[in-house]
Amino acid sequence: MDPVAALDRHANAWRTRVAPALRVAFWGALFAAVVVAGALGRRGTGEARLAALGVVVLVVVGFAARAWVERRGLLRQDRMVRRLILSEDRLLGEKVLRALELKERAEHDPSVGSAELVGVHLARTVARIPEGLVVRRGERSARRFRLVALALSLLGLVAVGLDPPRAVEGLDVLLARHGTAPLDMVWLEGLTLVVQPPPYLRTPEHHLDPLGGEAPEGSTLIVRGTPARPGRRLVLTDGAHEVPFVTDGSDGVVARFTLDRDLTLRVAARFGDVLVREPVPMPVSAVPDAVPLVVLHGAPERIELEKIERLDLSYVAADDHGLREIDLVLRSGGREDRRVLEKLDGQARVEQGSQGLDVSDPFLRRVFLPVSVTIEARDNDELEGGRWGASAAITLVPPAIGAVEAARYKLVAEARGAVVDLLAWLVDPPANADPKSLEKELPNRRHDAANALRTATEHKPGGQGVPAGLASFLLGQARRLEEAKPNGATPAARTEEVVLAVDGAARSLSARDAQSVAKRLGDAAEEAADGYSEAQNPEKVKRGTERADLALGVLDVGAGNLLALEGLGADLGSVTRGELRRIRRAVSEKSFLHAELAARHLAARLRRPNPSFASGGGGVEGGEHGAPRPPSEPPSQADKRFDELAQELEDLTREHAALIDQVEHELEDADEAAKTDDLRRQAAEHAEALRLAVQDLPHSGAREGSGRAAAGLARDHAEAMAEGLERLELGGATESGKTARGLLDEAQKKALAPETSADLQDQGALDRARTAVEKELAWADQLKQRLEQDARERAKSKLDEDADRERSIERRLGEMGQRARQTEAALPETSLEQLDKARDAMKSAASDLAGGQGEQGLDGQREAQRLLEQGGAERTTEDSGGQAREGREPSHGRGGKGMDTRAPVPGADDQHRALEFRKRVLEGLGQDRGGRLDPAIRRYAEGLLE
Amino acid sequence: MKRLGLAALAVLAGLAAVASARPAPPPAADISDAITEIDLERARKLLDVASGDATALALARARLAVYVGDCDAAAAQLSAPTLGESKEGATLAALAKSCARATAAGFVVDDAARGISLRFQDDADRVLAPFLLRIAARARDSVAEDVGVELLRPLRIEVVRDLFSLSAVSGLPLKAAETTGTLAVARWGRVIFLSPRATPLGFPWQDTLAHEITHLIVTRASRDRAPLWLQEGVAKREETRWRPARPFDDPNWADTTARSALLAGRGVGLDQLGPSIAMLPTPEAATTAFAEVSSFVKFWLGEVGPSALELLLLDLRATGADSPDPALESVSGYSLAEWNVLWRANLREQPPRDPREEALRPPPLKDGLAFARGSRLGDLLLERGHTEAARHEYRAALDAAPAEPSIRWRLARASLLLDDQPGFRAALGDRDKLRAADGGWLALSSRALREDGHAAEAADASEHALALEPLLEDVACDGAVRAPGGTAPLPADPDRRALCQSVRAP
Repeated sequence: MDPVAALDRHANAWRTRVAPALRVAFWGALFAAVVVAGALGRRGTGEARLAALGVVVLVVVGFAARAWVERRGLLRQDRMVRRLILSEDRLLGEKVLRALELKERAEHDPSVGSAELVGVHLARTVARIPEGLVVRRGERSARRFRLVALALSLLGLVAVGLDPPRAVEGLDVLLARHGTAPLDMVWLEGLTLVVQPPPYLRTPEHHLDPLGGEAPEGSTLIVRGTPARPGRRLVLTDGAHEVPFVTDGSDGVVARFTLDRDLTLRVAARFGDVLVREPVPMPVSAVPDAVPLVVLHGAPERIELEKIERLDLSYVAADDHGLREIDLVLRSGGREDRRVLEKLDGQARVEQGSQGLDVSDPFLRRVFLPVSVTIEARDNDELEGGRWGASAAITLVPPAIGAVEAARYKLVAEARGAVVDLLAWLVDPPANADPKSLEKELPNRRHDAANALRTATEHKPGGQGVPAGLASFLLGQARRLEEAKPNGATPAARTEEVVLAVDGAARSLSARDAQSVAKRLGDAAEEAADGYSEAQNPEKVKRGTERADLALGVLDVGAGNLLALEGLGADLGSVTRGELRRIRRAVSEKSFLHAELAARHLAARLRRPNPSFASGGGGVEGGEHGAPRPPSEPPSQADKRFDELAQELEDLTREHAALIDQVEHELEDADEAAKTDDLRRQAAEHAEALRLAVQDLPHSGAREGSGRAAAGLARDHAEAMAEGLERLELGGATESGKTARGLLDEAQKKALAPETSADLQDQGALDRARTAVEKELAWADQLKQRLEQDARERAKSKLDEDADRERSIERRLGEMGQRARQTEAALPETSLEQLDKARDAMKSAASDLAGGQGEQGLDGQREAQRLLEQGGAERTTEDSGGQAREGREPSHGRGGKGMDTRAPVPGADDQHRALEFRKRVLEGLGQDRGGRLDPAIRRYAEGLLE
Repeated sequence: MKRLGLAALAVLAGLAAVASARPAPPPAADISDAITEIDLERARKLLDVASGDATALALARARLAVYVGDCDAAAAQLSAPTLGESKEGATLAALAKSCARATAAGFVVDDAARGISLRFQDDADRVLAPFLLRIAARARDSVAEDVGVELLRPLRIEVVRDLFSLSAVSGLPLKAAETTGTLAVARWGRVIFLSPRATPLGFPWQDTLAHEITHLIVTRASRDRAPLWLQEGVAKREETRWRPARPFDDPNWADTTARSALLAGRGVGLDQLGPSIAMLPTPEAATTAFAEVSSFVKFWLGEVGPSALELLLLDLRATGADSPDPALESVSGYSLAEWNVLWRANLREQPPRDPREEALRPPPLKDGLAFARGSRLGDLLLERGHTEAARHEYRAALDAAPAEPSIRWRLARASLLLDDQPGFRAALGDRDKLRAADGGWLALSSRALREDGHAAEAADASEHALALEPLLEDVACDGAVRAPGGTAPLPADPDRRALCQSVRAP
């Protein structure tokens, strides 16, 4: 037998027995390795997952290596013999090995022996190997492998059987990619999703379908459930952030998640770096809190500021959850002024209101660029500090700086021109003109010139006419111009005086206006400087230059208006134009820094609006040789004299008001002094008697129009009279008594001829009451006369002094009126008339006071005061409108006692506002305040109504 | 041993030679002196090699920048907080800041041939540049010859638009400038000069310019150590010496005024001038002070001779003492107090004016109010086109002030508008009967002289008018009178033509 074939047969016998067992062992080992790998991999860390993979790979590689070694060992006879025979039968194995070696040597070295012989020797030796030797050994090995396989399989099965999900989790984690396991698993049972809206929404919490829904942005999403398997680290995640579940105190767990955007939440378990998610996601849409919607009535709109006096803003603001604040916002250029209109509790969802914006508002007074007016509302969103919603804007376009001043100066200059033309006609009459016709024409020409002056006071360019003081001055000069027979002066001389007077006032006005305009232009220059400062930032060149260009446009126009004001205005206008050229030169050289510097210089210059060169006595530092300057005396002092007169009138009016106060106090003191304790006691007794007399009368409340109702009212009035008597307020007591008496008469008539049962009454009670009321009325009247007499006597000496002071004031007023009528400090005719009337009232008041008629005298004084205030004049240097624009402190008018008596009164041309103003005044004056001044206020109101 | 010693000496000598080959950094005083003497190129070179106290050097650089008129750079340099800590630094920083604002993007005219650099704040003033350059060069050269010290080129002149800007560029307090009516300042190595546009009635700008240039030259000559009385006295002396005498120049003005003040007890005193005459409390005090210093310097130079001035300035520069007495004694033998006594005695001894001179003086103002009323009424009438009526009012004003040139100019002008030549001539009147010079009157007088064929005298009058009120239309246009809104011929001279066109532009 071929020894090789014999050996192959033994090898095959080995294979057929061992190989199946080995495969079983491999699978058993692999199962066990996977279970181990799962346990390791569940840790989730990179190292653990690597180790788990290593275990599986180790098993696979180990078995593969073993198979390779086995195969290799069976391929060569000598190795096969060593592996299968030698270990089983050592002697036999060695013999076979020697025979194989001999055969191999004999094949290379014939000296060893013949190949046939050696082959025979090998065949015999191999033949000695028993057939069962290898089979037994193979069966033993197969048995061992099967046992190992069984053990490992059992081990794995036990491990899996103890906590099957762990293995799954482990394998799941092991196979995770990008931190997420491929197999989703259920972690929570009984899962619920609750929405807890932000507290400011004041909405209760509610359930949300876990499969999807929406909730207000900022809500807290609360996920609850019972863990399907304990011991897992559960989290709630949106893919980017995760929140751990915590115990809810019982068996469940809970996690809270803030909804700040649209989310898809998932419950998951975290294993190291790996997340094993629940299979069902929970998509939740965040519903944002809407920005408040604000509607401003009329917006968007563009309004010329000079065409309105007041802007009424009506608005409605609405929010989906609630409003916290509503503001009025004014923006102009780089400025912003935010004013709180309403502070709300955050619950109101709709709010409407209105707000007035006066053109004299400090912000509007100082603006020179268009103003955007918006209403802005903030909601109650606390997460972002409140969201602001803004209305469309109403754009207020302010008049060009100085336009109003230039226009009104032009008015005055034109009026002056008309008087100058009259003067020219007078001093240089047309050649060959007939003197008589000239004389005849003179009144008409004077009238025309005077009318020009009057017209100048009536026009209101941009809603602003010449100042009140200057208007009075011009009207006074118009009166002087029209005087048919000037006091010892020729018509030409009088006209010269008027020309110079008007010229002086016009120049003063233009100088004051130039200063005011320049200061406002200073703000525009500052704005330009800020713009160029901003433009130096390369990222803000466009915005900065646009800002500056707007301001330069304002300055261009303003400079033109300054030039129109002549004098100081022309000087400042020329400076402004020069500086604007300098700024533009810098810009053309691309130097925003230099443009800013030049603009800042201009701003500072305009804010100090003095003449370019001001000196009390000529220049120094060279060139001047002591030559005196030309005389610079002002050609007319008329405006100065007028202002002095206006000041004197103001002082006199204030003095007269103080005298009225004094008389009032003296009369009140005298009244009080007359009310002695004895009188008070008597009055209390009379009051008590009256109350007793009416106590049997029915109370009020019976059917209206009946006798009992009249008696009830009579009782009330009688009791009011009793109270008046107690307080010694005899006027009121008498009034109440008379009413009670009338009502008692009515009740008596109805009792005598009853029409219904309600007319039936106790006649005796009515008679007693009637008698008592009559008696007390008589007593009150008598007491009143006594008190007045007593008070008159007490006040007499002081009233005499007051009468002297009243006469003194009247005389001084007469002297002022004389000056106002005859000198260049001329007041208008209407003022003179009022002052004359005031004098008459003063004379009458003085006479009454001297005669001890305090109340009458006081009435006369009040009338005189009213006329005095109407007839006085403001100084030409005062400009109520201008002051308002400049934001000065409110001035204290004469007799104001700290109250601003120069409140803006709407003109008659603005009928709507004038009516409103009148209504407010009358309502205010009509309120009964009591006290001594009440009748005077009432009379004053009645005077207004006339 | 001896060899060793010689070798050591040789090494030391070598080291010393190496050390001396490297230039030593200049002392700070040298830099400061160079700037004060307006030798700005030298100052710049010294600063380039200077080392040492960084703060002091930075201050010196900033000061140099102010002197060259680069206030912008000076402001940037002085913005360092450390420099603002010292009083000098803070003051200079404030000045540089205000100066940078007033001079940024100014209009510059450089005349390299004359060595003058003009910078106009308001470019409308550039039409004055040819006249300014001509006068500045003439005055500089004349004063330099008198004082014996050249002013290095370029001479820098800043023409500012108003007193506010003059204050910003010079650092002179605005209030002081307004109180005394400052027209120009020589400070920081430059002449800071008010534009004639700023003054409604003009001012003698040519003499003012010469006055300020004199200050710069005296400052350079004395290293700014000349006392104020000397500075102002010399400037006052030199402000008219650069040109021939003109009508209405009063050479005795200073003596007369100083004498009156002395006798009335209103004298200010040479040593009571304070930091600047421009900072005296009233314009009257300033006028008196100018008269006193002018009179004193005139007296002193009359006693010691004109060459003493150059010597005195050199002595002051060298001595550097706080008091000028050592230099004065060295040059003239007496101290300031002694000279003061001599001068006062001389003033008192001056005889009163000749009564016949009094009789020849122009008639005084009769009625200031009538003059003012007539002038204003005439102006208003003329503005409305009532020329004849305006003449009526001007005549009334002339009756009240027959020596007042401004009313004669108005009347003459109105007459020209009516084409009334006899009236024009009559209105101009006699120059000797006028109280003072007036630009308008001189311009029309020039026209009359020209029409009469007196070309040279007409040119003098025209120049004189230009020296007073260059921006008055009648002056700028050389007597070509134009009715409001009307037309009139332009002057032939191109510079004058440009000036005239500029003035007539709306």
